[in-house]
Amino acid sequence: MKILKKNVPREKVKYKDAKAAFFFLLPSMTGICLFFVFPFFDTVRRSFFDVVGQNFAGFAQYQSVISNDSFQLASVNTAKFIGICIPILLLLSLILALLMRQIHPKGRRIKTLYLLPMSIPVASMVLLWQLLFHDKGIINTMLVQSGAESVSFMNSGAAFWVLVGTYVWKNVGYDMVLWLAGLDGISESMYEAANVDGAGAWQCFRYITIPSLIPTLGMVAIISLLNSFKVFREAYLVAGSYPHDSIYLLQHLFNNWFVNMDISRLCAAAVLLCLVLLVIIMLIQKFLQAED
Amino acid sequence: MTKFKRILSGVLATALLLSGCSSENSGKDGASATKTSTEGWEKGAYVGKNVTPEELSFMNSMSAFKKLTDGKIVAYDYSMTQKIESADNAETWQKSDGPGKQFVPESDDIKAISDAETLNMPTIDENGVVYSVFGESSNTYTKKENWKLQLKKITTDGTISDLVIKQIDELNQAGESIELNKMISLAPDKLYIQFVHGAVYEQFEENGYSQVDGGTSVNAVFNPETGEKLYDLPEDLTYGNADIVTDKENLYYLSALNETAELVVANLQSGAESKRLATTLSGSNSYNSKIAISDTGKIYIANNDGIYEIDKESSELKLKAKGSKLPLGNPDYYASTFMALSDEEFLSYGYGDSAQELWRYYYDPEASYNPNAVLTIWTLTDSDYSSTNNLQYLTSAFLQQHPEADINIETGIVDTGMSDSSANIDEAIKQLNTRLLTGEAPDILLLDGTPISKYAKEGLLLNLDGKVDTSDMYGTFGEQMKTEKGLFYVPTTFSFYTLVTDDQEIIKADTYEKWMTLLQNSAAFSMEDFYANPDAYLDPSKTQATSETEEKMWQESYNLLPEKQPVLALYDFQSAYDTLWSVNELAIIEDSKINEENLKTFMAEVKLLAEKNKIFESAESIKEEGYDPFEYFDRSFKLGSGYLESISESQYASKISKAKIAGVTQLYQLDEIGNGIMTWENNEQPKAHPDEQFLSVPSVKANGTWNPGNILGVSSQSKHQDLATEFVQFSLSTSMQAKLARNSLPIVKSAIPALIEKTKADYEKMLEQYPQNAEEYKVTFGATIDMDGITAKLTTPLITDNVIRKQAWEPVLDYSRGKISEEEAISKIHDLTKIYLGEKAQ
Repeated sequence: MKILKKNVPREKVKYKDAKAAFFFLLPSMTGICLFFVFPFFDTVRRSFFDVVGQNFAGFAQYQSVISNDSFQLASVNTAKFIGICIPILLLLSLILALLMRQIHPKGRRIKTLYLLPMSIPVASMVLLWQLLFHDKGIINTMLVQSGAESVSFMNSGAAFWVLVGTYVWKNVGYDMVLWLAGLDGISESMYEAANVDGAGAWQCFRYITIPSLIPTLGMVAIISLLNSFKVFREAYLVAGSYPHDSIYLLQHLFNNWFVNMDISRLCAAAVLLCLVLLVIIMLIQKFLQAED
Repeated sequence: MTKFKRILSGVLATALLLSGCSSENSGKDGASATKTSTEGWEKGAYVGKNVTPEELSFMNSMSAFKKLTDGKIVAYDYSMTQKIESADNAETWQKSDGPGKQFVPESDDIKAISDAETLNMPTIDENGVVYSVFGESSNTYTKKENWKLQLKKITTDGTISDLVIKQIDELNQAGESIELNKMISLAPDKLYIQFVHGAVYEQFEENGYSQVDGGTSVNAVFNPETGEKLYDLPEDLTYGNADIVTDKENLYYLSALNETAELVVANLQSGAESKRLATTLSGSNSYNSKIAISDTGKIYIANNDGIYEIDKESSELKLKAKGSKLPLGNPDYYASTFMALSDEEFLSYGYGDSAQELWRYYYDPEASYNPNAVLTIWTLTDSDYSSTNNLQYLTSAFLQQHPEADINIETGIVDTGMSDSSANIDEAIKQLNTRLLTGEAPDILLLDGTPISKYAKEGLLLNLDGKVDTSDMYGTFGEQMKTEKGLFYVPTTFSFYTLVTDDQEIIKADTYEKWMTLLQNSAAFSMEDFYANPDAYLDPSKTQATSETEEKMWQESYNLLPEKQPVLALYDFQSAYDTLWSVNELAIIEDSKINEENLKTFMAEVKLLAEKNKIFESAESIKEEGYDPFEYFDRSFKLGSGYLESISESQYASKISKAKIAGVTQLYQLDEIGNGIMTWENNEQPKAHPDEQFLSVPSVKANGTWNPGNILGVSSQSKHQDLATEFVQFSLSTSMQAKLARNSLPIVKSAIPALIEKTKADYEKMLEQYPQNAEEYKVTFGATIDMDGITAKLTTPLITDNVIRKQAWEPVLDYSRGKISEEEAISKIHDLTKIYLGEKAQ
């Protein structure tokens, strides 16, 4: 045990370290408080008041939000989108990461290429969508030429799958990089030891790789969950404020309520969403702790 | 760590407490600039003085102004019949006959006067010598034999001699066509002339020409003494407003050829360009800008935004006088001349409120203003010309009455051609909402396109009940604008869909059911059938049009047999849909739900109209040719399809047509009434059809839907509530409403009579000076439309964001085409609208 000073109690040393840390963290904490924490508390407050913040409304806004048909539709769509996208994304990115590891180390440079979709600006993405999925776009032209019927991608249920595809395509590279980092963190000696004991590839994967990746899984899942909300931008620019039912997400609702100055309900819905996400994240963390 | 947790808890608790103290609505009146106390006011501002000489003839356009070396200012009208001079910096003027008067015949014959060869297009040098064209400045179109471009020089004693420019002389000798566009005297020995020679045009109809050869453009400076060309200048100066100013060394002009204007500096002696500096003036703004130079060599630019000094080295613009605080800011004011009398005094001549006006702008050290009394007016977009124009006019006029104040206009979306995209509109409204929520709201809001009702309901707008007098509004408009809690927004214009007819049968169809019966019983009309067999349609007892000339189109039209006339001729499904939706929206959407019965009735009406007019059949093939297939039928149907833009246009229609006429229209312009003296189309006089009546478009629920427009509201957070409220009241004043009537329908009753009285007075003044016009230009004045009667029936204001209308469009179109059944159409409409209506539901 290293003694910093003669006869200084351990608790006092820890307090000094904490104080120093606090001051180093203060600038970023100030920013987080100013731009996230305080606005969040203001949002919570506004959800109980009217727009100008003078008349207390109690839980009326929450009741109104929960019983609102559009909120219910948006919630279901958002849950469905997350429920389908996240597993597909996690699985696909993991497979890509595993494949990438098989390539000679120098070949790993191509993993940068997988990050390119994330760097494409939203406006360019929108143009690409229209080029591909418009009623007279490339895909429909090919379908018609091959004798099939054209599909109204943006005005039918197919819009949902376009959105899923776009989300997965954009984020698979990023998640793959995160998986790779996690995979790099697994000690080679464990695989060597397993090989010595006669474990096959699948057994290594099942009993070494997957358990070791649990912490990474948690992080990738949370980041993917948060990124899933960003797909609204493309959907909004292509399909406007009132898109097809299948891609009407919570962000559409929030956007429209903000435009129409329905601030109280917007805040109430945001608080509800925050609570749901909090529960999900806590469940993920609990699952991770249990696995540990 | 425990202590750390305590500190963190304290911080969070404080945050909670502080967030509870977010921006509150103080609900207090802000400081008013109109209070008598001038504490805090500052002194020294530019003011404007109307120095239009009484000697100036009504409607006489002064064409050339110049400040001479002896300090006098001299000006001539276009034909040099009048000269005005001032020796006291434009304070007073002396009028005399100009050297051109001798060439104008003393006659009552307008044709003789207009055909006479006179002096025109004068330009004056600094010594008072004038250079001018004599006779026509162009023979490009007329190709008169033996025509020559004649230029004259007029000395200060009135002696007229030929001005010989060698290059023009040679072209005259060669018999080439010449079109002279501009002459500007730069110095006694330098005359800039811009002309085109060798252009060839072919005539394809009476007043129609097409260009075969554009000719050669000459932009050069000549020596008026020797007639020799000194040097060429670039083509920048070819656009109409371009002007050149000089000091002893250089010449300066603005080039508006690119998106941003450039200040060009060239050597006066050689014409060699020494600098071309980009400015911050947009291309369009620079097009309307005039340039001037003072005796000290400083350069100034004037446009509607104000007077700027432009740095000769850096082209940086420095605002000297804000346009909105001077008559310059009047969007109607077009300055044809701008001079710098000194570095603090300017003279501007141009067309103002229906007359030519001369204004002097100068710095008054005693003029006081309140630097805190700055109103901010927010508008969603500047792409709607009439709305933007109205706002600019109101602002300029208000500041003339309140010189101590100032107004800034903010635009949510600057027109870039994509301003109507919903994403842009949403973003602009969100930014406004953010400002409203954070206490940074503008003082006055032009609320069109925003969630007005929500703003009013949530207390974001000031209650104007008792503060703004709406008693002069038509009908019960003022009362209709009030909510339970008060009056929160005030429209300054309005519009409505209407039918115009003198057909008694149609007039009696004043309920929806009768109207539908009328439609069902009416004839269907097919353009293809008509062209295939016109004799079966045309009424042989009446004159028929030919489509050869436009004149004949106005004088005659195809007159159909009564039994062949369809009730309403519309080839454009969009027009039918928009018209009928507008009057039925409140019946279709009730309590944030679709009323299926009313929707079905609306769809049936649209479909029936489309069927009767065979919109999806015969009109298609004709529409491909790119013109309105019903163009020559407008006035021969029981209910024609004109898009009438003014009430008086229907008077034309009723006068010209021999058959029964009416139109579906959204009326919003009264310029023909306001400018009655200008309505001399083919010498036909506007006259109301005696039996003509305006009817509301029948609606499922209740007739009488109207659209409030240019809606103003005052922010409840405004710090200048009194001044802002005064602005709103000002916009409802008779004089302002009469001005707004140029672009829109005024909402107050006194506006149209005031407009007619003013126009009548101007007309009578014109007749005093030109009595020979009396016979030729007879005008009937008076309001022939019973606006009180019409507006009394308008009882339902419609303020809508048009979302449902757009969403329902495609299913209704498919249903009208017969592609889908009624049930399918209604189901689709439900699907498309459920999100929007769901969001609205409480």
